[in-house]
Amino acid sequence: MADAEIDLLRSSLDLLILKALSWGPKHGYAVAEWIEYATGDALSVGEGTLYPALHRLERKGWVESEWGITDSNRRAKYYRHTAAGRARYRAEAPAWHRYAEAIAGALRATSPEIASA
Amino acid sequence: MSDRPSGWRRAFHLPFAARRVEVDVDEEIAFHLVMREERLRARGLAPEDARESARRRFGDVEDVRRECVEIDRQRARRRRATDFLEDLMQDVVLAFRGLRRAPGFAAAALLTLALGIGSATAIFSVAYGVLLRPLPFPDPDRLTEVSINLAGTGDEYGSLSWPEYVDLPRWTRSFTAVAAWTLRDRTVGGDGHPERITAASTSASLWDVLRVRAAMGRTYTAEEDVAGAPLVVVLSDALWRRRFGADPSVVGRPIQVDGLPRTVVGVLPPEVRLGGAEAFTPMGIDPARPPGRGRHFLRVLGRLRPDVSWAQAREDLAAFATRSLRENPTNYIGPGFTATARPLREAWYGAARPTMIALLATVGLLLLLAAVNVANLLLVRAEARQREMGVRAALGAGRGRLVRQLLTESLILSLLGALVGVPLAALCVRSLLAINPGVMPPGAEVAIDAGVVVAVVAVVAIAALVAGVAPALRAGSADVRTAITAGGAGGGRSGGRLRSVLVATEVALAAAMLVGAGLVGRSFQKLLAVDPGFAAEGALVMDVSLPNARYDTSTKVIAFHDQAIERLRALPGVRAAAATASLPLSGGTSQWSVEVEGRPNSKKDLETPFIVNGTRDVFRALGIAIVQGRAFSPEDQEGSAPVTVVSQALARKFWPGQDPLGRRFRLTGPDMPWITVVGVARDVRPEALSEPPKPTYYLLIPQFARMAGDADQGVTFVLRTAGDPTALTGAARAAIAELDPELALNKVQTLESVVASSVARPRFAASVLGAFGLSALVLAVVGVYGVLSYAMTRRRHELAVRMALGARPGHVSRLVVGSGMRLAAAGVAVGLVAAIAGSRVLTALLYEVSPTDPATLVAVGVTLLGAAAAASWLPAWRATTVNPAEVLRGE
Repeated sequence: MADAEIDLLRSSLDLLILKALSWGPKHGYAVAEWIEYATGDALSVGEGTLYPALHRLERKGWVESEWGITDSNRRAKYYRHTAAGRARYRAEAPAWHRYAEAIAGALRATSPEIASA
Repeated sequence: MSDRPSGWRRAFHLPFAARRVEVDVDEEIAFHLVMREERLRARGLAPEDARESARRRFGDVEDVRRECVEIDRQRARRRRATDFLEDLMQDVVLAFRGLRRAPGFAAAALLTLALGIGSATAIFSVAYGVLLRPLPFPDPDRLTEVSINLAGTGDEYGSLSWPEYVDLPRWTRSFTAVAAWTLRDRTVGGDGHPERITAASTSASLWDVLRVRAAMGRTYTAEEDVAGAPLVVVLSDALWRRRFGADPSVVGRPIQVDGLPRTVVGVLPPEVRLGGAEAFTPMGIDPARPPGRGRHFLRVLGRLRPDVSWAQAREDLAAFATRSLRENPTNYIGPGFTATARPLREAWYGAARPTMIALLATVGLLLLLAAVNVANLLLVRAEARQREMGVRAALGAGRGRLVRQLLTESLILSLLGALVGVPLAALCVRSLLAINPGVMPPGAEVAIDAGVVVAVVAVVAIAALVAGVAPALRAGSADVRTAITAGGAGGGRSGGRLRSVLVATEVALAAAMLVGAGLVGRSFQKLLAVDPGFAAEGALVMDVSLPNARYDTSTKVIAFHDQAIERLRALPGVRAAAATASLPLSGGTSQWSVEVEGRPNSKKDLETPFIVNGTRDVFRALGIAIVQGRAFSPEDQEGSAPVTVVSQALARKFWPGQDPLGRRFRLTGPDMPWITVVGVARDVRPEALSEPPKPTYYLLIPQFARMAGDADQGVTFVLRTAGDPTALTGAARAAIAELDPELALNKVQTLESVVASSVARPRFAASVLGAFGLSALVLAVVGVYGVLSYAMTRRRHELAVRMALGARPGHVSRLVVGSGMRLAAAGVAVGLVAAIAGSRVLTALLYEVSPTDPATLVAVGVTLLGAAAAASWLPAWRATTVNPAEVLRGE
């Protein structure tokens, strides 16, 4: 994967994490797996960057954490989003959609001319 | 923070320690790697490959770890801060809620604290102004007052004469500069509103010695300090504001001072205060006609050289006195002439020192008493709250948390106390100074000092904190179950003992303070009972000073006196009117040595007597009885043979066992005529009620003027009336104004108020110490009552059992009163012993009362024991009125 792709992803990582947690508390590895699945393994290299992002979100008060026990009887740190985190997601997601569509549309353009209205 | 769910991290009491943060991050990363590795192995990778692949996928572990740890640390720091604030808020809310729930406790504690903080702040502020506040001049520790002690005058720190002042810088080498000044009342006028002010006549060097610069304009120079120089004046800030409305254009303008125009050259900064003077003029001594060596009227200041010690300066001055004596042998009496230097602060404020120290000691005790009382109240409260604390501990509040809560409560109490106490202090200072003019040395500045407030509040807060911590530690360590089950009725015996000790301490402090108040109060009583030698009631007095400019000959002065007395006599109700140059008890005394006929050496071996110049009716006006011979009569004229009336003390001293009538003496000086004694007057206390009468002789102003060539320009008119003297004030003022409208009448007051203000300082001490003693008594009584009534609620069960078993009410109440009296007796004993040991502090304030006056000690003991008995009786009575059956059923 190209460096450009990682940068792009990182900037939207916060949003992906909040989305991942929208189904309930998850530990970091589960968040990583969900992103792997949902994005077609876009994060296959530098998966660790997920953790600073998680901790940063926690510092901002958008997620909170708790130590718990996994099904396989291991201690793991579970994250869940807070009310503030949910609000953040609701505000960010539509903006991201508009942005992504706008960029995608622009990149699909075939003519330098500005279409007259 | 409300969205933090319960049972979150804090429930586990996991500290946000740096180590914890790292461990958490490590564990989290390790978990991720293990999970990924397992997943890869499940897909069929070899264990080695799986681990390698998981790490590669993760990226730089160390980077991630470092970044996470950093983020978490920031979060922990922020969290700790908000947690602290949150807990604090909770504590504050709890504290206020707790205080509201115990209004009796809150009121008692607040009152005690406010009283302690208020009185201590007030007195400390006053004392700081007098004892410690540095003089408002640069390098004030090098400033000194030079004084002389002339044998026979009885004035240890006497004024210098002009020739002595001139010799001083020439014959000594200890001073960088010396200056002379003297205070006099002057009239500022010229605009139809004459006003008497205190003014200073100074050498120009004063400004160099004090290193004072004018706030506006300039001070005067040595060139202006000579006879014949243009007349100038420097104004104090206060006068400039009061009389000239802070108008800057007054500088350079002439104003009338004692009838002469003087140009205002400058205004002093507000902090410069010099004996209460409001205007400063150069002395302008004419070197051709200097005042004689016998006229000691100059206060002299010097600035010590930086390399000269006080001991060296004193040696230097001793040598100066010896040389003065050697070079002017006829001017001094025998070897009795010494000179010395003392720090300026001591010279100015030294007289107020004993009062201040006594007040400080007393208010210190009161502050201590207040602190003990609050500690006691807090202890009682803490025991009553053991159950509450137990419950909170059971619900998971840590020991530190409980301690913090109690500390917060103590602190809030102290702050509330300060909130009430500091305005109280401001009020106290203002009213103390208002009620007692003349108590503070002139020029001393008194203001509530921020440092003082902080110190006092800190003392009380520390007491409250200590008192808060003791029960908190106990509460923190208490076995939760015991506290909850027994908290209502149990409690340690140690707490009870501690409280008893505290209460006994309170009683002891109160005893010591009451002894002080009693001693000073009795002294004041004795002072008021002293016969001043004149009749204080029914007389009006007013000071009049005639300006040199218009009254330049003694004929004019005497003519004015005659006309004024004639007019004043004519006022309705006036029985006698006279003028005197030295009104007793008002500070204006003078001494003039005499030579007794037939005893050539009398000038040297007799104490210099007080001289009082007056007009004919001075004895009738002042109400001084003539015990032998006659008073002045109409036949005694300016030109007739000089006569004198002498005091009993003088007659005894000069002619012991002989008839003084017809004896003669003369004033020392060239060509003085003999003066014949025609009468003996009752002794008068000229300086203070506490000072015994001094030998005094009375002369007629016109006869004195002929002998000395100088009539007294500043006199006090005395009007003896049949009715209320104050009713005459307006008419008397008008009579003088008719004669000379430009004269300012300074103090028009009754003779009684002159006497009253002469004892302003003892009255001040007596009333303040009395108020403190009373406060101490109240606090001690409240303390005894509080401890006993609390003990009674604790012993209800025991007393009920006793009564159920047949103990008579009398027996029970004796038991209760007895325990109260034991506390009080122990306190009284300790307090009286301490008072006997410490009352020497008061010696300077006592008048004809011994510091260990038995009557006072007994009275204090009886009062305190009586008060303690009364305070014990109420809880005792309540204990006997309970119904044993009800109590025992309720348990």
